[in-house]
Amino acid sequence: MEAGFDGVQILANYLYLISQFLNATTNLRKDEYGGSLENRSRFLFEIVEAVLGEVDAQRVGVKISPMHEGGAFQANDETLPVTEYAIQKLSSYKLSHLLLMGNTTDFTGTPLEKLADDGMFQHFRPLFNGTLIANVNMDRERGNRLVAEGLADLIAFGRPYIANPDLVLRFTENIPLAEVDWETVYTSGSHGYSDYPTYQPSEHNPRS
Amino acid sequence: MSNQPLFAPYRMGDLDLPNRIVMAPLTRMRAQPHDHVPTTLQAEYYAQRASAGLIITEATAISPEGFGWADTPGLWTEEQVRGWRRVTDAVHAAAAASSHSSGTPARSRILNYWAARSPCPPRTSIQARCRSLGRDGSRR
Repeated sequence: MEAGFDGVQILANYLYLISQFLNATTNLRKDEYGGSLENRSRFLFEIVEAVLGEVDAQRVGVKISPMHEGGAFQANDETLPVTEYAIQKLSSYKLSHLLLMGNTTDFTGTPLEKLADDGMFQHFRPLFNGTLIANVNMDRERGNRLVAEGLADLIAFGRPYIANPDLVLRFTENIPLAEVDWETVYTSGSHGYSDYPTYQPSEHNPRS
Repeated sequence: MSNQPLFAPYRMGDLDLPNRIVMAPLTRMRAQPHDHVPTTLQAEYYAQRASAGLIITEATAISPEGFGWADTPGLWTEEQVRGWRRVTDAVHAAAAASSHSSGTPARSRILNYWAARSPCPPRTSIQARCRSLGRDGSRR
């Protein structure tokens, strides 16, 4: 907050440390941090409570999602129950928000099958009483629809923001989006980072 | 301006957001190598995107042990705090300028994003994955 931020978000998903505690395959502990889903969630809630000791709850959010990645992070029978438990408990802290990621891999044939696409938001929305931010594979149409249907309050756009610094204007005016140059996403310097132009109407880009 | 649901203002906690469009956290590896201080280039990049209702900055390590990727930013030294202050000031200034020109009072907000990661997770079966990756893909 000293650095001028309006809030913080705690990352409790992907392959990072909190997920390693939540995941029954990677968490082999026999103490109070392992075993039951309450125990596997303990580390997450100790972090949340430590952060709440420094920052108002209305400025603290959490990013979380059940996922199906490779190796030890393949979805198992414990993946959905521990995520449900964590999200329901997070709901009681009156946090700033929950950032819920949709599926980033194919859920077909996994224990998460019913959470594919909008299923993620349909399933978890009733479990979290607060601001829900939906993410992954969003576009203008889907974002508007999820907000209209009450499945999300805010929509987070990742890939579209790489090549479209003026995404808000493009959505306002229904201007086609620029494509990402994947070669420069993880390189150094300004090229492919801060040199994507804003939309310029021209003969080649006639505005509708 | 627009009757799309994405453009309805939203109050998140005590923050008024001008729209419901959020810039999602994106790892882009443009912090300074070695000391993990956010750069003026990052300030420029985020300020360009300040018309979003909310920006969530990229995953930021909270300790030297906390890195997953090369040239990603940190937030535990005074220099890193100053580097991030350049970013947050640039975003708030750009958002204030754009909200002034569009007549909407609410400014964009910017949230930091913490990645809690340890060099060796507690007794897990994925020890081999617990080192950070260099630009060449090497384990560090």
